[in-house]
Amino acid sequence: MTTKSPLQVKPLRRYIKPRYPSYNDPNPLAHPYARPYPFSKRFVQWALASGLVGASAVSADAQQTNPAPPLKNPFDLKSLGLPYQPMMFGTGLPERLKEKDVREAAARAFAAEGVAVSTNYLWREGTQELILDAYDTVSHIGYVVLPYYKLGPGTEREAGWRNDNQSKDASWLARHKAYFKEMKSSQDARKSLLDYLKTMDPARVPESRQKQYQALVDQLHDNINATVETETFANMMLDGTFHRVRASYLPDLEAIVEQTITTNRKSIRHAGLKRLQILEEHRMLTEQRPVSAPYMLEFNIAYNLINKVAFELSGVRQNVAAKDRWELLTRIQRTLFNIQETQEGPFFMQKLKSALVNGTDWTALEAMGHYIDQIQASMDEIEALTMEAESGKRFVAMIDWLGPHTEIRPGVVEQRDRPPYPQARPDWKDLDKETRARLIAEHQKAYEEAYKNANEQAEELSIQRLEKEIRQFIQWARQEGKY
Amino acid sequence: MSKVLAATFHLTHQCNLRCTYCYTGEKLNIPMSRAIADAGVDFVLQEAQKSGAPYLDICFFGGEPLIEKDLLLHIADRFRLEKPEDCSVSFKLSTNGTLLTASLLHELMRRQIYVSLSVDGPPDLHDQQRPNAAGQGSSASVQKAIPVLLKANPCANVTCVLTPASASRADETVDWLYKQGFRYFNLTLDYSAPWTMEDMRVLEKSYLRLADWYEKRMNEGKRFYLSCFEERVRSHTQAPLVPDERCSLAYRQFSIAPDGALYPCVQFVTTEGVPEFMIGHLSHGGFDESCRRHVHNCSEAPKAECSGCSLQGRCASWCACINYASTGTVTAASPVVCHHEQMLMPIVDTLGNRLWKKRNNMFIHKHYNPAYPMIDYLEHVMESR
Repeated sequence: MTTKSPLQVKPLRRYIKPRYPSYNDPNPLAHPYARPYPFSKRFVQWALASGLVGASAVSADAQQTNPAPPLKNPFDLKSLGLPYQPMMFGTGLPERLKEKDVREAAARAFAAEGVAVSTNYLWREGTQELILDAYDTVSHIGYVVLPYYKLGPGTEREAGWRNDNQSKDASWLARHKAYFKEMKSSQDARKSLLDYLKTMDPARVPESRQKQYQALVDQLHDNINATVETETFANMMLDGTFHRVRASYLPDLEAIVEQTITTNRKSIRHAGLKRLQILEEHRMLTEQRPVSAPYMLEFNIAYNLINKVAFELSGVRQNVAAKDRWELLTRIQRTLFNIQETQEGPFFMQKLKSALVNGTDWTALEAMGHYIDQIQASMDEIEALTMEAESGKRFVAMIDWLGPHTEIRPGVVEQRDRPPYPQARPDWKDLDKETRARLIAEHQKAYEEAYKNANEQAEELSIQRLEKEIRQFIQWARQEGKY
Repeated sequence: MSKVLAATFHLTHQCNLRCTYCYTGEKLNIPMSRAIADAGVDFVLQEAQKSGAPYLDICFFGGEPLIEKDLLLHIADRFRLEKPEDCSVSFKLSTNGTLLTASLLHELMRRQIYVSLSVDGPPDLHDQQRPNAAGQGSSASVQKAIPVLLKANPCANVTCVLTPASASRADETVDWLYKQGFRYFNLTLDYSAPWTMEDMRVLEKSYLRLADWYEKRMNEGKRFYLSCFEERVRSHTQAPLVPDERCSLAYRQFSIAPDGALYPCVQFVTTEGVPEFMIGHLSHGGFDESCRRHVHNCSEAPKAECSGCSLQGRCASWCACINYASTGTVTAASPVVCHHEQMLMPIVDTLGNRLWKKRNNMFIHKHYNPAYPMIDYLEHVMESR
């Protein structure tokens, strides 16, 4: 007698998003080639008799007899996917064109329409600033590509179905800025980065966690309690705010954190050394030197804090371009290593603070922060540019990476479905194991090939569509701007 | 906020059937008294006024509610007469169909009471799961009611309960009911049954066959509604339900037991009573607000065991009623729901992908045309003439 297995609740970590349009996608019935509802003959007769069809039916023939629609802005605010709805991991977003392809398509469209543009034009309106990718000062037509990392404050929908309240309160950013401004102007050595803890965003780092950090930092300069220190350090390492920032460029972070949690202070030193080793691999460190555990602790904290400062300066989120992030982090790390080179031993935090307050590295950091502010588009800036286009003053196509313009639309090509379940193939039922395995493998191979081809075709079609839309935009801008 | 206030009147604990999965307890002849029914009507109207709900959704349940048909008609008449002018009221009746006659149906239709029939499938399966009090099958009497009902309302809904014993026959059941003339299928599981992995695998195969059936019908341009598939497609094509759009247990939905006790949902009304979920009593001042709030808050509490699941937002783990039936508590997610969703969701999505790839016009209109429900209803009415 076989035992039956009872059921348990097990969260599904990953789920492939269906290909048919979701509520975030454009309604397929809004497509120009959408077919009308297939009313039955009987219904049509009845409806004709009662005059209902005239009022409500959608007729493809009717569309053909309409005159050509007037030119309209394909990049108006409504057509952008902003503010965007953050999606839960696993449910996935639609596939998007590569940033490089979007830029190339835009460049081709502008060249084809004969608009001579200058690159990296700084648009400034009051306190708002945005670097446009291309802009023609004669016709006032240009464009800016807005990939995910260029979307600044206000572009994320504040409260979605996930009840995400993280982005609701941005007052902490102002507090950070004010704090650093004060620190810089007062040149007060008593102020240190430790005070920075007090300005942490309460929505992201709970108060209890902040107290833990404070305790750790206090202990670093006093009697270090190994247990508390290890535990708090592990917490700190695990903290999502640090995690997200570093995970993208330190692939071994998980291993470091795990070692830190599960073992003793010796492992912290080991973790620190490993980090230095990773940094060295990234050409950040010229030589590897033996360091003490307290030193490494301080180093890690300083490293984390300064990363957090830099990213918050750059506009609330960590979504800074990889290139800019790399440059920024390089500068920060060099600051740290400069200090390390010149001043050895513990009390690293104090030295770092001193270097930041009195040294020139702070200026570089601030300049980088300002640059990132300029390349990121806030929702206010996007709206202001849209208003300018509507009023005929300036026409900047905002090619939003999260909107429908850059989406690789599913179903344009065939064979994008997954292979059928083997159980659903009754003709395979009586086959022996090996034949069935071979058939499945063949099917899988054919599917992968078809999927790859389909993806490529869909991508190509999407690029063509985008190029056409940009050209339409230029034509509309010329009409509106009397150019 | 939802604009609907849903109240269910449990007219009696008595039933002429003894369904194998029935959760309502012993079948005793304890009808709702006329006084309790009147108090219930007054209470519901008062609650509607208090909450400002412009739509009242009144449901009749049991036991078998048609055993108390006079009371049922009396309650419906009172609502029609006494509802405020700016308030709409709709009636639903869930019946096993054995007592449904043409004359009774005429009375029900006259009062616009929407009848939903419970049929578990072909006669042998129905008889197995829904015997009468004497242990005999009830399919013969139900089959007499089907044409009568469909003639009166071609859009009548049929509810089928899938149990581990009938899991392998979901496709056969739907096909049989389709041939009988039904077009609105509400397939639900017996969540209180001891489902196992093996049962789920059997059900999965059955759903796969049902998916093929569904696709075939869609390719033929047929119109029908199959709850277990449509609802999952809907969870992708339309934004997930936010708490305000759901039933809001104990607040915008409640049940009145035959003795006048108030419960948050039909699942809790049994002959024996479930005192821990009683949220008030008609004879004792209506709702006990603290009990009501407590039950509601418990049901709305996030489920830790679902943390990080990719199907959150599409899954029905929020339904306190199902969770209670499955786990005995409203705070824990149901393992049956969990496995069922994880098994059914990919089947439905693959089917959706296939239909979308073919640009199946019926599929597109069904799920993306806001006017579809109206068109569908009109077409059904036209066809039946």
